[in-house]
Amino acid sequence: MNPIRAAILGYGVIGKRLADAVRAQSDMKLIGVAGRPSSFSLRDAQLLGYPVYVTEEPRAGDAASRFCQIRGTLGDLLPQIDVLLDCTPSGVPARYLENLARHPNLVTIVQGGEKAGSADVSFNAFTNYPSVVGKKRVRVISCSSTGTTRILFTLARSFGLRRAFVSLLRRAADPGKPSKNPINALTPVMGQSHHAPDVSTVMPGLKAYSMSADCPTTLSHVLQFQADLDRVVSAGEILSMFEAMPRIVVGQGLRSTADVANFYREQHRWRQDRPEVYVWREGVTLHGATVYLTASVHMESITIPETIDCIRAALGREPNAWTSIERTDQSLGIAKSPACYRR
Amino acid sequence: MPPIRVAVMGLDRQGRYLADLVRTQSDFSLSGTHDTRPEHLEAASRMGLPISENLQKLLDECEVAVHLGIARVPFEERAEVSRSILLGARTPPPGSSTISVFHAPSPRAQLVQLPGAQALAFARLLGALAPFGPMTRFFASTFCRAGHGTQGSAGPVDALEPIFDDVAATSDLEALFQGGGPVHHVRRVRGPGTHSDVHMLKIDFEKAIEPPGILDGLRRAPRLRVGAARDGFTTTAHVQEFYRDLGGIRPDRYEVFIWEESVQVDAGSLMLMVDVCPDATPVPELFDAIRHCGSPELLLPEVVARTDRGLGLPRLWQDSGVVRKS
Repeated sequence: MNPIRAAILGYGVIGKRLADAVRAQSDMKLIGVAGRPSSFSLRDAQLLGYPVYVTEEPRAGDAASRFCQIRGTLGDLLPQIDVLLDCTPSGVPARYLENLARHPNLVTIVQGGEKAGSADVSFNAFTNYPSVVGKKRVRVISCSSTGTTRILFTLARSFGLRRAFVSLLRRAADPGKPSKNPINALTPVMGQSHHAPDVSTVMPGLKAYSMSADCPTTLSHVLQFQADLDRVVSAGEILSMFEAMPRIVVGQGLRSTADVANFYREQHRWRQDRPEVYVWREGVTLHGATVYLTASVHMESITIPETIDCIRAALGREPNAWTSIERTDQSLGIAKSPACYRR
Repeated sequence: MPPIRVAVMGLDRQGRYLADLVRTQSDFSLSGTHDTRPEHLEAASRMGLPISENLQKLLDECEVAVHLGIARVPFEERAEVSRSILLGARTPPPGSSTISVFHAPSPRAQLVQLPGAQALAFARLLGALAPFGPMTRFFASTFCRAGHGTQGSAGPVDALEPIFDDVAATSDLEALFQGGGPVHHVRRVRGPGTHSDVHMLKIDFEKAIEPPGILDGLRRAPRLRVGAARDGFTTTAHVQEFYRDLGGIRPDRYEVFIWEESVQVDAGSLMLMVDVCPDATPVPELFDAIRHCGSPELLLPEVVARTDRGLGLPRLWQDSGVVRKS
């Protein structure tokens, strides 16, 4: 079967990681990367050997004009591909709907910054892989929602989950960006945050509530869970399930998110990325049938493996979720033992 | 009635702050302060605080002694001399009582352990919510500031640090929740910040509760302040600056700040987000304890009312016009 032809729109935090991830897949081919001609990110795409396309005609001083061999416009790119990975900032994908409508066979995958209603369906590889087959516009849920889903899915599947509460302390900005948040303050989200409703789009029937606040930090989010299970279990059982679940890592002795980030730097992870959810072993506590735990989400990379699986699912190239998950994890160097994928 | 003679032991930043505030109360008299560290004494001297080198004499002459950092004071030798209030002890000494807005120390207590800011804030909230029915469970997810701005390298610059073992805070909460309070669990994360702690709370009730009634109850409760993000309090910095602008030389945040829009009810649980200043929050309860020790004939509600008047608690918000009627 011919490889899936993919393209990236928006070579930012997520886009550049997806470009690398697609290139690592034996069943996919990255046809090109498109972006605003003024964006210096296209310079980096050129340097990494990706064909560069622009979303509008460049001007003389634009970064694309200065640094890139421009292959064409977005309009030139779309007819060449099977799937477009739209990684533009929240609200921007809507600008391209008219353009995309001219390509009825094209599948578009957007990221979690978009509202659930903007796509045919929301996606998480663990929970609703088959539901995106044949859909033309799919949304991978957000970074924190993905992390939350992995944790709650594991608990629900293993022990039954009656109800969950999750609080999120989120980084104010990614490392490469100026902060939108004050330097010495927290910005709370009023009322319920979007996370629990987001998770509910891929885990129907879930009873959950979420709260969040943005903090003056850049490295990763910290999530605190209170989960009411269907039965009393031990911390050992909880940890065993997490250790057996792909894309979740249980660690101990790393004091802060900076220590976690440094650990993965020393593991020689590309860009020091950590697509897995990190669970602090010492933070798992049981009160009867209620488990409390603390986890960290690396927001820059957590949705990358999900998006790769979404490509296969939406194009109907792999019917089995766990086969795709294992294949993706192997290609990204985050695979666990084969037994973890036999579900 | 003569003022209550108060001594303050320990003149670090917090001790100096408390001693300075004691001087503002018309029914207190700051009889003296004590410390042994030269840098603390120098700073206290600059503030004009009365310093006593003779610890025994100071304790003999005061009615209530406030001790900060119990490890530095040979407390057992002094207990019979005066009634003592402890701040910052890692574990409550045997025989000590505690205080909160709904709990007064034993009338015979010589020793009162003042809980930390977090426990006191939770006590105020629970006191305000008690009329709405039995609470079965209390969960707090807390962002703890790394430290006061004066504390060099108090914590991470760009990281969040989960805290899994905090003996002092755990002891405070055990004292607070004893006697049948809700099952409680607190998760803490330390992060870059110097002003305040933020608590995301989930409180489960035995029976259904109504959101409008909850907000009214919180607005009426002492030492709680409900403010709205739509009125400009969108971040903790905005809250801090409001007090700074309107408080002048006393920009102190004694009250627990509650974001109105964060107060939500879902399936029998109440969720809300609050902002607590660790430095100023214990002050009202400290003054309650001083008044209770010095004037044991007063009932706790009268003590609380006198403290609130003495600290001018409602005035700041009423003068600003931001306060909402319940």
